[in-house]
Amino acid sequence: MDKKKWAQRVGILAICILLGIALAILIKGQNTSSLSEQNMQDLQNNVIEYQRRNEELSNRNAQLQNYIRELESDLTGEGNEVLSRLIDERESYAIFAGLRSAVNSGIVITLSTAPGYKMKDSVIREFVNELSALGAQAISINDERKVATTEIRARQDSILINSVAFDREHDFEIKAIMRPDDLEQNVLPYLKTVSDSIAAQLGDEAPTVRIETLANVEIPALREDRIAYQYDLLKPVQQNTAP
Amino acid sequence: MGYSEDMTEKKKRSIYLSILMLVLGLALAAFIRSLLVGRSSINDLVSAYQETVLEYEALQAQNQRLIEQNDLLESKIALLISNLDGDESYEEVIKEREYYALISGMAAVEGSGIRVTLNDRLEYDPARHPIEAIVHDKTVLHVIDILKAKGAQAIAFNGTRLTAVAQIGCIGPTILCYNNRQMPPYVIEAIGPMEEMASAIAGDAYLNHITSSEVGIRMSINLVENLALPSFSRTGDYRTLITLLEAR
Repeated sequence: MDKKKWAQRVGILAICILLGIALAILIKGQNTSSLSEQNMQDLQNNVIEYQRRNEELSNRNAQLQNYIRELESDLTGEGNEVLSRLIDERESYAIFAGLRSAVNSGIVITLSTAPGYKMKDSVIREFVNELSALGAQAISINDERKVATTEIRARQDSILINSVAFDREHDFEIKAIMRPDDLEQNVLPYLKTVSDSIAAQLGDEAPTVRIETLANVEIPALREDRIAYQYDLLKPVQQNTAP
Repeated sequence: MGYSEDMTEKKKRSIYLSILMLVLGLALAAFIRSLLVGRSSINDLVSAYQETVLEYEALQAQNQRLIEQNDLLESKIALLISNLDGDESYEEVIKEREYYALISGMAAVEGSGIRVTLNDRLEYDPARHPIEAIVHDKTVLHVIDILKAKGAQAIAFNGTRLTAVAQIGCIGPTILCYNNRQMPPYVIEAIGPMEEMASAIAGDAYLNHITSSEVGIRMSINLVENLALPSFSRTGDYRTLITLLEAR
């Protein structure tokens, strides 16, 4: 009788072990397949990104090759496109550097502090960084053009922008040139959420934010006497020329 | 009485055993079905994955070739333009072009500077560690803002030169720079006053907080005597970033 009972128990134990193994394999299989799908998605995203990068680089290289052809034909006396090309490129670099004023569709954000409060530099930086990430092509703060090296920082009662001091109790106006088709649908609602998030963080200290879209926003060039214009520590790298 | 109790006990055991066998049967059926059905879909997935890996590697190699080609073309243009030197009609324009290229980030530059490297907390676990324990776009922008405030004259992020039209943002946990996905470690390099920039980074309260043992961001600061930053030309076509700027 005892032997029979033991045999039954051993049988049940074996079944339980089998059941456990089958369930473990099933669960593991499901985890593995979901992990693979995630990896696959990441990999596909990387592929798409490299396709885009390569397309852009190919276009750029094609432009450079055209430029080289023009230069070569000019040097051999077969054409005279080089000077206009050089002037065009010089102007494009100047625009890209923020050294030319610009006008186009865009957005104006006006920040006003409540009486007795001072503007926080972090609020201005937050809006400027968000506008940059949203694809703004030119930005100014109180008509100071934002360039690659523009600082925005508080010092006592002022906020320094390109080392020009602005009173922290006055309004600050941020202007940005952006694609017109994005403004109403994406940019405005997103900037509203940024504004709400700042209000939630700062409470009474939060500035009042007014955001408007305009068909013509004028953004001045960076003035050449500004500190953001310094380049005395930069040495151009001499490129090695291939044969 | 003893007989009926024994029978009830036996019946119970049989019912339990039947239920157990039924569950085992179902589990085995599901397992076999998943083997049969899943095998082919897993095989498909694996083969698609392998194909995509090959495509990715090919695109990476192509990207490297295009960057090298871009360097060669830029060098060739520089050489051809230098051949125009001495011609008075070109001389002034060439000088101005070089000057604006330097200011705009369209020329590779070198100089003394610092390299700040940021990395996520080791073995980050969202259930146990604060969200600040991974590096966000805001963290990178914070470092860049400090460097600008201390006089940085040229800045690069993960090898991409930052320009007046800098675009750093995020989609979910991924940091984007000019729409290119960035992976840790995040390297921010700046040419400028080395000591001032380094001490400002080392003394910043927010960076000290996130690099504390509780948060765990890993950060290193290196002073580099001869730091070389690439031209933006290696990243893409700068003209696509200024399509809306009508110069006045």
